[in-house]
Amino acid sequence: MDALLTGQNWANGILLGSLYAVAAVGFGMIWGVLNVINLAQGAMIVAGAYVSLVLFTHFGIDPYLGLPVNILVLFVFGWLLQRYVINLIVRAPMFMTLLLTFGIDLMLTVFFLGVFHTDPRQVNPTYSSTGVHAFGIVFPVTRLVALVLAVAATAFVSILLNRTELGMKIRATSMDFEGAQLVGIRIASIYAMTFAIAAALAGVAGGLLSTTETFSPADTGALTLKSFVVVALGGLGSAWAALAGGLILGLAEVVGGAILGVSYSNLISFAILILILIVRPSGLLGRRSYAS
Amino acid sequence: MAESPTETAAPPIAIEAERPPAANRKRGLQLVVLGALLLVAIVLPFVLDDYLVRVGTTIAMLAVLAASWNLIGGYAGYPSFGNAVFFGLGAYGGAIAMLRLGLPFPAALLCGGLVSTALALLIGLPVLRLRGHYFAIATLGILSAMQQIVILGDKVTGGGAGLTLPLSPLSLETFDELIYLVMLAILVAVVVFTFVMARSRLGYGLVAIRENEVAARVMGVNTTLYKVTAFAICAFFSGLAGSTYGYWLSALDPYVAFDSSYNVLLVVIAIFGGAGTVAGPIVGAIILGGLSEWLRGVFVQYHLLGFGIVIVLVVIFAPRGLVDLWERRHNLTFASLLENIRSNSV
Repeated sequence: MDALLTGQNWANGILLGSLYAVAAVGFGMIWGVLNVINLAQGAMIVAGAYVSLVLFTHFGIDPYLGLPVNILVLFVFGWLLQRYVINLIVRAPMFMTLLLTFGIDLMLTVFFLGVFHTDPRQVNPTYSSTGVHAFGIVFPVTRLVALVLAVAATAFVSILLNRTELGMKIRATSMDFEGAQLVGIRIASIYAMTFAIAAALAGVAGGLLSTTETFSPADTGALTLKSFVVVALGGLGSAWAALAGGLILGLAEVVGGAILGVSYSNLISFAILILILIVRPSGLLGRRSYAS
Repeated sequence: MAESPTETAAPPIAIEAERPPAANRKRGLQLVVLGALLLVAIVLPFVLDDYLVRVGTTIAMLAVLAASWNLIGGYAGYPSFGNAVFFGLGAYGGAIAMLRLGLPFPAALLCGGLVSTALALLIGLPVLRLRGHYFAIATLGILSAMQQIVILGDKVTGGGAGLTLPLSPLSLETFDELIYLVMLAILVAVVVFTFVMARSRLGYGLVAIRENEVAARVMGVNTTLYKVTAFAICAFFSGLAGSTYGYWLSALDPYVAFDSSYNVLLVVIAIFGGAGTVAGPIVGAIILGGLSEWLRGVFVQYHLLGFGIVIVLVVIFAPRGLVDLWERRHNLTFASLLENIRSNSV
């Protein structure tokens, strides 16, 4: 039970959780607005990580300074994918969109395998092993940046949805599809924008991941599942719910892993997933959609 | 122009009794053709070379898995995304029965099926209460959790390194032929079961659940019992296929047994052929299984890419599967292929 008491474990859990939160914010947006479970989420995150890797190793660009490139690449990819592929059948029974995004995940994974092979990679800028010491706890710099950016990304999504005209259109579309059409909102382009923004967020998550963890094409499935756990934990209520879900999952994995053994951390997250689904499918803080 | 789901879903019970003689003759002809096909399938391994027997075994296995998924995903409309858990657990159940209990293969085979059935009964009650996304993801989560449990339970399961099964005393070729015939027998069993079930109270009940679960319950269908029954039977057949596969490979590890992309392959096979039909999963398995084997030979590294493209094309252009296209073949136009897009795009 000592593990429950050490501040380092709690700090690690919160830092890991913030990474999960960034990974899942976009996933929750796509789910809430488009009613699509995006099984290509993990592949989009890994794509972001590879963008950072290429920028760093071939052009010497710092992974954080390169984040705008991640955003741009994934934004364009997400817009095209939604506008010209997923939009074609977006109102089909949900199982069809699930399969479709799985097919896309598979194609992206094969692409990564072909270009980057199976080796686990990591982006290691000079400061990657430095940390900030405070209260007898070490905070690795890269993870601290991830925490700050996680809060920033959440605030960005929240302001975008609640304070801008685009956000109003997105919320209107998710609340009432036909009503939105009646007032002249172009659903196809709103869907494409929503998916593109979510993909850009996945790109940021990938960039952050590339500096803190190793990644490989084999990670796409686990990242997708964790995004789902985070959103299911927090609920589809708002962007802040995803942040809460991410922190809970991160803490559960790290603290639980410290108690039971590190190899149990994956099992813990799947157990939480199944429990949450069975006990409270709408999530801990959940409302039914972004309509808040 | 398309049949509505309810039309396909409600086979005419009353007409069965007053079937005209022409239809009887047609039914007789169908039976003869099926019998001949089965006979060919049985004789095949003794004629073909060993490689083709192995391909045939793989296709039969995919057909068993797709047909089992079809019971819960196609008929009951509960699209499980983690059916490979029953396959993997069957493989492990059979392997552990042979290794730790020293049972002969036929008994181990049954053990594999029963272990999977037990899991389905255990998780069926809570999980089958979920619908839509939540059900699909819960089943995917159970698959991943089971993989982790097998990795962690290394005292019994051999952990991440896996298990090595006792080798069969038969020669390699005879062994391959035997496995092929076992797989074929399981396939025949699941197909016959599906055929009989589709015309029984259980089958009609499942279709009613798929079309409108609340209405089905109001009409007196014991929905929980029906769903759990279908789930358990689906698990049983998948488990049989799994333990046969484990014996065939003679080496098992958690990454092969609980492979989540495999798990989606069999869903795609069922949908490609036609979910909720008897023949669909078999047609899908023969075409996609054959295609995947060919792609694997031609493009070693990129065969999964072809699979991804097939998924995307099927979902966009033929979401009701080949059997549905075949039934509509007389008035099939280019426009009818775009019908799915027209009704579901934005």
